[in-house]
Amino acid sequence: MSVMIDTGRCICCGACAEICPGNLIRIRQGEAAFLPHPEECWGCASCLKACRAGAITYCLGADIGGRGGRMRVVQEGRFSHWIITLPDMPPAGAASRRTRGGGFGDGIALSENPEISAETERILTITVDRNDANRY
Amino acid sequence: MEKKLLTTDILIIGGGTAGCYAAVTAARKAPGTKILVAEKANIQRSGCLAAGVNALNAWLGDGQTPQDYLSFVRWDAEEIVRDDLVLTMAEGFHDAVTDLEKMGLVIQKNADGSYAARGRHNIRINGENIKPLLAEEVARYPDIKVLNHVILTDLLTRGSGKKRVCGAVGISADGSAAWGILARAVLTATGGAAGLYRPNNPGFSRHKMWYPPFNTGAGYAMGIRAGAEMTSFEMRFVAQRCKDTIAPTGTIALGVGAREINARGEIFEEKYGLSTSGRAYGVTEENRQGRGPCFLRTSGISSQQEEDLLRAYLNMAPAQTLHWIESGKMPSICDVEVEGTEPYVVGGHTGSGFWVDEGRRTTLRGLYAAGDVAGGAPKKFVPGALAEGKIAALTILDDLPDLQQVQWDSIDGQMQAFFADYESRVRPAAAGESSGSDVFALEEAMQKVMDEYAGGIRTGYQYNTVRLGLAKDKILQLRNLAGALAVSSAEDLYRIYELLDRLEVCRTLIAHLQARRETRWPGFGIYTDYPIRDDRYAMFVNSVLQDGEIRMIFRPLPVL
Ligand SMILES: Cc1cc2nc3c(=O)[nH]c(=O)nc-3n(C[C@H](O)[C@H](O)[C@H](O)COP(=O)(O)OP(=O)(O)OC[C@H]3O[C@@H](n4cnc5c(N)ncnc54)[C@H](O)[C@@H]3O)c2cc1C
Ligand code: SF4
Ligand code: SF4
Repeated sequence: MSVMIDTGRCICCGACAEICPGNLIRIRQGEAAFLPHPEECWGCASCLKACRAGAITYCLGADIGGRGGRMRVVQEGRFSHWIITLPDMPPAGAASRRTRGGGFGDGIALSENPEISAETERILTITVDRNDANRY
Repeated sequence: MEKKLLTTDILIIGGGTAGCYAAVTAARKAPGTKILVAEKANIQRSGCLAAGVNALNAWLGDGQTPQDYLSFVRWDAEEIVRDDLVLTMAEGFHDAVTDLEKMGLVIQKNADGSYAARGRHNIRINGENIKPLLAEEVARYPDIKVLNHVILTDLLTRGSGKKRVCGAVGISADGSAAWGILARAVLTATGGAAGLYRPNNPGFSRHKMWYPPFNTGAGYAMGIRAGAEMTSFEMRFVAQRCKDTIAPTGTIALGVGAREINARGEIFEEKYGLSTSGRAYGVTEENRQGRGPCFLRTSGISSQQEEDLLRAYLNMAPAQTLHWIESGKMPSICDVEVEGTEPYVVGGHTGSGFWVDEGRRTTLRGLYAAGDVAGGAPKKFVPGALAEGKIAALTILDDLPDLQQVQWDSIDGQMQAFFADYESRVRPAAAGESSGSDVFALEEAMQKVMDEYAGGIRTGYQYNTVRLGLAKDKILQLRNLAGALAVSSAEDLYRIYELLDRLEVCRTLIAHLQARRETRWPGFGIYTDYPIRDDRYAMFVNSVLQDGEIRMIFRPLPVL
């Protein structure tokens, strides 16, 4: 379990280091934030939500089924858009949602990411509205 | 290391669910009282609520009374509960929850305006921002001062015999400063303890556990060292969680009504009982008998249900949503595999923690406990942790007139000794010093010992007298090694104290497991020398550390 910090995007604001419940993220004057021990991440996503530069992505270690997928979150008022980028690998075992032919409902849209080659990556966005209580 | 000294009326250790609400309660009730919250991270997103929660799991729906809640908890905990604590807690659910709603929490409503239930005792919420909302409420009160990124390590005490707690000491998370805080009353609200046992994912994802790995049992350890009485540590909590992500399963089980099945597709829950322990036992036992792995049967749910599940998990355990999508094994197509977790010590789910009176006073004068760190009242969840924070705050306000601030000079020697210990542990590594006994290696060693000898995942939560004896010896040996630990960077200093705290909790836990010679909660642990429930042990198993030795105390259950 861990997060990755994009040193190119990081604006060194320190918000992630301030918020992490495990004090795992370090920041040094003028340098990008970093995690000295990425394996200590709990996966709570607090740092992703705090980072206004969109520099932090969330990923699963290979030991818990990660295979290169990344997740980040963009907040827009009461809406959180969770953007999941998948590497283009056939999902093991079961059919993926795409091949099932069905729609994705209102909030879940599957689209090709225009910035990244459509042959190599797939992108999925799930939007959560804070004013919606869970149906579960 | 810079030294920082502060005085306050009320010191709250841990700004989590219970701690924040205690601070708010005291500030509302007694303006002018100085309240200090010392939090190891940042109260905006610390502790159990960091990622959010999807439901409030303690609630009196459908005309239920506190007495009904007590009956439910007593049944679930196989009798080992404190009636007074559960009742007073349950009486507080309603006010705590409506207060959360006033703070801005979105709670699902029925057409008539009542809260929408998810089962008898749950209400559904959108709780992604529950912790920021609590922190915002704290910020409204100028009498509350919050010290973020300060990790407290020990209590300051006066007197011997019946000790008085009069403050605490700690370090900044980055090791830059040592803190000494004097207080008339101290509330410990540091949550439970995770990371005592080898976790489900011992490799790279070692912290992908259910309970926050940053709740290290510091409050228990501080209390134990100061001589406070502890109860029911042997009632460990083993949760049944989603495989790999160790995400909660209630949202699936209660939300879409998924039943639990074994590898053959058989529903087995009736065989083992529906209590929390019974459910955990079912999964372990099916695995032991070769019928694992177990699953929650979600295949066949509608695409709307699936979508709702994906969203629900983003609000509390986002790893599970990513896991579904990344694996392609969507819940409508594939059943969700479940597994039992490492055992935790957590008084919000089971009964482990400080032995407190109805007002949440511990056995040490001036020290109070609320939330997962307090014992005797299982099934607190968020509403119960809030209710206990409130009860403790009100008791403290009642007691304050009798609790005078002690003078700095009377406590200076004790404080300086702690400060000297902090400073002595930051030094460059000596040539030839092995990393085989550094703080990381010792933590792993501790988890291995607990896993193998004190009923961890490896033995299917089983232990026996010989194993527990070995566990005790090995933990003491590791404690000796840890006693001499140093780090080369001040930023790593807190790690030593976290390890020492966990070792202290392990030692007490082992003594409790040894003392209860029966098997009462088979899902949480099986004492194979005494494999069945024995009502001679229908009592509380408590302990106190005295002159370096753990003394067990057996206390009767409340008379019904
Ligand atoms: C993953 C997860 C999901 C849950 N889901 C639900 C749910 O859906 N519904 C529900 O009702 N309940 C749920 N619970 C249970 C509920 O969240 C807890 O019982 C409750 O929040 C505990 O409150 P607390 O104040 O005791 O602990 P916490 O809220 O964890 O607070 C402890 C605080 O102490 C701080 N701390 C620790 N050590 C130190 C130290 N040495 N010095 C200073 N500060 C320290 C921590 O950083 C933390 O902020 C869940 C729990 C978990 C872990
Ligand atoms: S996901 Fe949570 S635990 Fe991990 S680095 Fe971010 S804030 Fe810290
Ligand atoms: S919050 Fe984002 S931009 Fe700010 S320091 Fe962290 S990674 Fe960099």
